[in-house]
Amino acid sequence: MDSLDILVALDLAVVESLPDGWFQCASVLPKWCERFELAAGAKLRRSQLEQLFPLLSSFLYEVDEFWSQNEPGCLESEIWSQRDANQAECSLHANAVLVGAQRCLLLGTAGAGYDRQRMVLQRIRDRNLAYERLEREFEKVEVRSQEAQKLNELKSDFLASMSHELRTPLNSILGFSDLLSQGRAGALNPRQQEFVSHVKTAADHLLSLINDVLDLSKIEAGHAELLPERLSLKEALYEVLAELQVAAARKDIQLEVALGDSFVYADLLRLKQIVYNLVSNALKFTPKKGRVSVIAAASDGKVCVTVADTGKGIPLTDQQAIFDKYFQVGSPTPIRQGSGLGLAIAKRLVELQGGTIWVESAPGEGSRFSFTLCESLPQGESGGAASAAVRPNVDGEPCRIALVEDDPASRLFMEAMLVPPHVLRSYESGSEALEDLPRLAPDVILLDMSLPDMTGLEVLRRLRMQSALRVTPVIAVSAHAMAGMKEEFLQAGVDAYFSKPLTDWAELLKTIQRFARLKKPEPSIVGQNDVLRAGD
Amino acid sequence: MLQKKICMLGAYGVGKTSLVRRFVESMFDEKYHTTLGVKIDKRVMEIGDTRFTLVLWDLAGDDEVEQVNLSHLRGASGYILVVDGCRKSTLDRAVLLKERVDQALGPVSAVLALNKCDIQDQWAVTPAMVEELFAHHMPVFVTSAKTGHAVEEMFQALATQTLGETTS
Repeated sequence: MDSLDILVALDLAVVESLPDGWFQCASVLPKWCERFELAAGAKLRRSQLEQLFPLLSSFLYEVDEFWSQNEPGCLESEIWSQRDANQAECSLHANAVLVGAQRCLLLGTAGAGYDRQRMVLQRIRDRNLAYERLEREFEKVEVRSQEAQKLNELKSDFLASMSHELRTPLNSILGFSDLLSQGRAGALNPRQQEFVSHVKTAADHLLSLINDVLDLSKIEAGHAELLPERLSLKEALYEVLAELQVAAARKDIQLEVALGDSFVYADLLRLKQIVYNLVSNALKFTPKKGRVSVIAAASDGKVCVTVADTGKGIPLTDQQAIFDKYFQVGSPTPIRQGSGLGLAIAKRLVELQGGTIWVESAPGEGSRFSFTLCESLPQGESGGAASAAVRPNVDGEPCRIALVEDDPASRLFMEAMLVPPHVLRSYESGSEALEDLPRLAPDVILLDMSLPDMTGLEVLRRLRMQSALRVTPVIAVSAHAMAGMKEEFLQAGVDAYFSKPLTDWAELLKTIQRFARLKKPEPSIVGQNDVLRAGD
Repeated sequence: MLQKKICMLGAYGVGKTSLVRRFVESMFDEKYHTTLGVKIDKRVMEIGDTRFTLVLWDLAGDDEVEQVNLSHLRGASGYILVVDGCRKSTLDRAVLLKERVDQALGPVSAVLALNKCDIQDQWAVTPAMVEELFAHHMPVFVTSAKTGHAVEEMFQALATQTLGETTS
C-alpha cells in the first residue's frame, strides 16, 4: 500500500506548512479538489486556507505554538461543520503533525465515531431538556395547587364562620319553636301548632343543609380525617340501619338488609355516613309500600354494597350528574328537597377510601346505588379472593416493597393491602427513602410523585444515580392525573404509573408481582413483621 | 471581501443553530439537533455601500458536561448571547458566559437574543429580567427562530455595530 492508498483509505488531504509561511497542498484526493477547491501542488496563503476552512483560523494559533516546540507528535482539532463548494454540509477535523522537519496539516472528514459521539450527546441533552420541561410543569402545578389550596382554605374559613353565624340564630329558632310546641308559653291552638311545626321542620332542614355544606367543604379541602380499621359490615351498620328502619316504617316502606359476614377496611363513621346518605336518599324517592334493600357481597378483594329501591328510577341523562353537588333528579331548579349534597358527599367518601361508586337505573324500574370498599381478611386466612390477589409472586415468593408516601391515610391503606409474606417498608419523605433504600435494596419501589421535601422525579433521578437502585422497578403513584402526566412520568423513567385515588387494587398488585419477579428477594430478610417503618 | 466573524453563544437548546438557520436559509426545524464542536456558516450582507461576509460560528451549547472552547472566540468581531425565554437557567448561564467571554475577548460588539417568543405564554424569563442584567452592556432582542421575529434585525444590528468599529 503506498501513501496515496492510505490517504484514500483515511479520506485525508495533506497540506504542508512551508518555511516561508505559505502552505502547499501536498497530497489531495480528487474529491477534495472538487469539494473544497484545492489543487494538488497549489500554494496558499494562510488567510486563503482559513477562508476555505474557517476553523483553522483559531486552530492554527494552537498549531503555531505546537510546532514551535519542535517536538514530534500530533495536535488534534475539534470537529467542525461547514459547507463545501456545493453548499453541502460536511463535518471535518484537522491534525497538525510534526515529523522531522516536516510540518503538515492532515484534513479529514469526521466519520462514524463523530456520529456516535453526537448521538450520545443528543440523548443526554434530550433527556435533560425533558427533565427541565417536567420540572417546569411540576412547578406550575405546584403553584396552581397552592393557589387552589389557599382558595379552599379561604372558602373553609368563610364557611366555618358563616356556619357559626347561622347556627347561633338557628339554635334560637329550634329551641323556641320546641318551647312553643311544648306549650311552655301557653297552650297553642291546632293551627298555631301546625305553624310552629313548619318552622321547626324548616329549621331542621336548614341545619342539615349547613352540616352537609360544611362536611363537603372539609372533604374537598382534604381535611377529612379517616381512621380506617377492620370492620364487620354487619356490626358497623347495625345502629344506622336500625335508625333508618324507623324512617322506613314511618313511610310504610320495607327495608331489607343482607350484609353477610363481610369485613371491610374502612373508617367507621364515614362508612355509616355513606350508607345513611344512600339509604335515606332511597327512602326519600321511594313511594309508600315500596321496598329498599341493602345487600353486600365480597369478590376479588373488594366488598360491594348495593342500595336498591323501587322508586321511579333515574333517566340515563341524569345519571351522569347524579353525584354532582346540588344536583337533584328532574329538578328544574337546583334544590327541591334535601341539600342535594348527600350523594356528592358519599362519592367523595367512597373514593377517599379507595373505592368506587356508581348507579344503575331506568325510569320506572327503581335504582341501584353500589359502592366498593377494600375487603379486610384476618391475617393467615386462606382461600379468599383478596388473599390470592395480594400474593406477590406466582410461585409464592415474597418480595420487598418500599413505599415512599407522605400521606398517612394512603400509607395505612397500602400497609393493609400488602400483607405477609412480603415486607413493606414505608418512608414519609424523599430524603428518608434515599438514605435507606440502598441498604434495603427493595424489589419494587412505590413512589408518590408529590413529596413534601422534593418531587418524585427528583427522587427517581437520585435513585437512578445509585448503582444498587439503577434498575429497581419504580411504580409511580400520583394524584397528578392530568392528561399527559402518565406519559411524562414514563418518559422520565418510571416503570409503571397509577393515579390516585387507587381504585384498581388488583391491577396494582399484578404490576407489583410482575416487577418483583424481575428481582429475586433474599429470603433471610422476610420476617414476621410485614410492615416496617423507616427508623424501626 | 471583508469578513466579520460572529460567535453564537448560550446554553444548550436555546436555539443558536435555529437562529443561524433562520438567518442564512430562512428555514426552521422543530426537532432539536444538538451541536457538537462548531458549526460554521456564512452569509453575504450589504450595509450602506459595504458588502461583506458574516461568518457565523455556532458553538456547541454550554453546560456542565461541555464548556465553550474559548479559543474559538479568537478573531471574533462580535457575539450573540442566546437565552431561552422558557428556561430561567439559560439566563443564569448567559451571565456566566458573558463574564468568561469578556475576559477572553475584551470589549467587542454583542447583542442578546431572548429567543422563543412564539411561545411567550410559557416564558419563565421576562424581558425586564434580561434588561436589568444586560441592558447596560448590549442591545436585547426578543426573537423567534421559528417565526423569524426580529432575527434579521438582530443580525443587522450586530453587523452594523461591528462595521462601525471597523470604520472608527
